[in-house]
Amino acid sequence: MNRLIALFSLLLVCALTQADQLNVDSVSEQIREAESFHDEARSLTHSWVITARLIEEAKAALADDQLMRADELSKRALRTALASVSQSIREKEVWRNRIPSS
Amino acid sequence: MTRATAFLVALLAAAGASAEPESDRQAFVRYFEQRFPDVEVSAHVDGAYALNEQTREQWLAMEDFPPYEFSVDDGEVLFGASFKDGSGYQDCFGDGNVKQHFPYFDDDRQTVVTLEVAINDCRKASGEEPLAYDGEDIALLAAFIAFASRDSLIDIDVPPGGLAAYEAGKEYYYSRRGQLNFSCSHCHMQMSGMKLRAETLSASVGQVTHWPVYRFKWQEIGPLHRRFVECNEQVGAEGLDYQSETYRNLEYFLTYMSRGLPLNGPASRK
Repeated sequence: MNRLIALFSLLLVCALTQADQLNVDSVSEQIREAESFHDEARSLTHSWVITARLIEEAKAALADDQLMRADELSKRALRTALASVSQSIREKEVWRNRIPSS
Repeated sequence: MTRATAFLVALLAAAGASAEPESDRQAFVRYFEQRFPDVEVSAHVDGAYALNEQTREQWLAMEDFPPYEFSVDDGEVLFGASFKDGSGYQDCFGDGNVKQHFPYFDDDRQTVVTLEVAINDCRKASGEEPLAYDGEDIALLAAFIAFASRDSLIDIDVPPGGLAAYEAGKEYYYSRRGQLNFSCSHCHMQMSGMKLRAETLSASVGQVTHWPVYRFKWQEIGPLHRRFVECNEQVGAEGLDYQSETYRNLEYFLTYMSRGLPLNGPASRK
């Protein structure tokens, strides 16, 4: 039981510390970065639906002063945006492998 | 860069492109012949209904009173109407039996011209406003032209100038995209004939022959590019604009893969 309380306290401290380091500017920058990679993926016809949705949700959370939620959503948006760009780079190399041999 | 280097780069690029549409098509058709040895290649113009006897019977029963019939009639009325300058679609498309020649590569404009683009070109040449590619009128006109072109065999080619567009369409078809990381070829080659939930995945050969399609899901007739958007979104990728260059190139590649097959549009699908 004591260990459980200690773990819970640790998690609480971590969450509070993280919230303390967050600010509107850093989250906004994260959203902008996600948008930039998403636009790049879109120009390569490899953009993902989920990224656009996460960006919109992150913006809405930020506008609603839900900083931690906005941070979490923008991080996820950034991850999916990066994954879509890396998918386009990878596919440039391997798409020909799927052509049936003549 | 010297001229010799530029020539070498161009030569290497051409070799890298390995654009051999006819050998591509033969390999593509052979793939489906081997995958479905009991199905004639020409039968794939009926899509998934060529692969599942039970759903084929249901579909044939629906075709007794085809839901696209009114669209063809409305399209015929639009097709017969005159533009303000007295000309009309007949001046561009004759009796409408032309779909077998679309899409084609326009060397002057260096782009793929689909039937929908040609319809708007025809309008613009007569001083009319172009139709919205996601609108009803263009789908109705395409439905009438598809009906007037029934049984004609797809007869397009890929001239040297069109190789880059063809290759771009081919690359799009074979590239994974979306969060689910699927390419068109994963669903419609490797998994063709298999079930995705309750639906049988159709083979890519013959997929372009029957558009526009009345889909019960849509409750209206719609163009091939609407299906492209839907396919993209089903794998978690963002769809593109109807008649975007990328989708026209994809249509060009897919249509060449079905070269020689009979047109049977419009059609109905679930």
